[in-house]
Amino acid sequence: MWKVLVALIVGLLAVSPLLIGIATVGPLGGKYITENNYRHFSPYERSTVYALVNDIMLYLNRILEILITIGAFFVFIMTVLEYWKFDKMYKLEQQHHGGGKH
Amino acid sequence: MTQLLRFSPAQRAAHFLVSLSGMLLLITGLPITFSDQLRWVIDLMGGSVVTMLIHRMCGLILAFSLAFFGTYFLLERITEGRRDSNLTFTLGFFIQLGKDMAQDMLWTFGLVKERPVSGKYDWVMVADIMSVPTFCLVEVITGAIMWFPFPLLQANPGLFFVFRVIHVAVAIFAIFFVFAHATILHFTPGNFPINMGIFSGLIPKHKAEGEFPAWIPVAKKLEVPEEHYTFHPIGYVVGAIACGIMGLTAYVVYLLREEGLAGFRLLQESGAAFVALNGVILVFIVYVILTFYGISKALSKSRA
Ligand code: HEM
Repeated sequence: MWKVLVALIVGLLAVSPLLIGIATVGPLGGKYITENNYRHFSPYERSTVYALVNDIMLYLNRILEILITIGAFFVFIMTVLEYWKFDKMYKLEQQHHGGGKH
Repeated sequence: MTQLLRFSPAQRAAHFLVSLSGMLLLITGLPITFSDQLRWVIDLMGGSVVTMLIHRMCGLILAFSLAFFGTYFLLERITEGRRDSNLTFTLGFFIQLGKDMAQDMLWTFGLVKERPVSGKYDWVMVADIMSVPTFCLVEVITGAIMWFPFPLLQANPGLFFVFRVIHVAVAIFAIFFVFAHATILHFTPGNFPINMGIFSGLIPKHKAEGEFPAWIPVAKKLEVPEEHYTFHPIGYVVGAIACGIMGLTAYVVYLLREEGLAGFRLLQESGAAFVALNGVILVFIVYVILTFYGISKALSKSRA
């Protein structure tokens, strides 16, 4: 029981920033648009900030492109192989147990 | 008939909450990314105001479940040890899993005589157990930042797109993950149409003998009335459809890559992509329904 209580406290703590966010920002907090927006940058600041994001994005795109393509085809091929494996296992089990009856 | 106790009530509850919220997150999230192909999902649910709210509420459930069950399982492990589980966090254990994977594939091709002798969780399941919380954590962190970007992104609001692209990449990988997991565990001979193990917590002993032989001596045993199982060959058709949609979705990923990702939105018109993405959503809707079916069947049995 104490484990459930500790877990409950950790769970609530973990989502508390979101709950506070719901209560203070957005319709519930009476703020549809936060006062933080791009307008507080000077044009010069804005361009450096965007250039940085652009560099990060180009780099991230290159990594994700490779990871997601390998991941997608790998999981697809493994699924087909695993299906085949389960089919083989089921047929062996049928031979041993005569239709699953005992 | 002897059944083995495989999943505790906490494990079943964790699986139920995480799988249900995860699938609803995919159903409400993917139409944002692929709005050319999946706009109807948003319209059908009552507009983006509704789907955005559902996405955030399910995000909240997922975040809570992750922290709650993560803490609970950690405390259980510390106070009660690993009990009938074979999961350890040593290098040797993970090397063994790699070897098991290779041996399992060789066995599938008929190149070795014996399958690896697995404990409670085999190499596929350990991969599942490790990757689901990791991916969910990435989604929770990137999702929370997109939900409330300020004050964190105050210094550079453009970083929003960095978190968004990570959120979408993991979501697309999650499509493959959910398909692989459900196809192998529910649509294979021996399991089709639904593997009740994760809902009732029990699996038949003869099934465990083939899949997890080293677990049997330490597993808790229960006697239950005999249930006859026969595999209906239509399971092969369902399995083939699931694999076909997966293959087409892998092709969508290939198309995205050809376009240099472009923020993960598919720019070109493609019939194959249309079929793949709509197939994914329809299959997820079926899974959501089956999840409720499984849990109600298990609950009504445990009352009986
Ligand atoms: C398995 C978990 C999840 C999946 C598969 C998922 C999937 C997605 C997808 C595909 C998008 C569309 C992104 C785009 O193309 O712009 C999205 C957007 C978003 N997600 Fe998630 N998500 C998950 C978890 C979460 C969580 C836990 C949260 C919050 C705590 C969250 C919050 C958001 C937000 C705020 C957006 C922006 C779009 C909107 O305003 O509705 N997501 N998600």
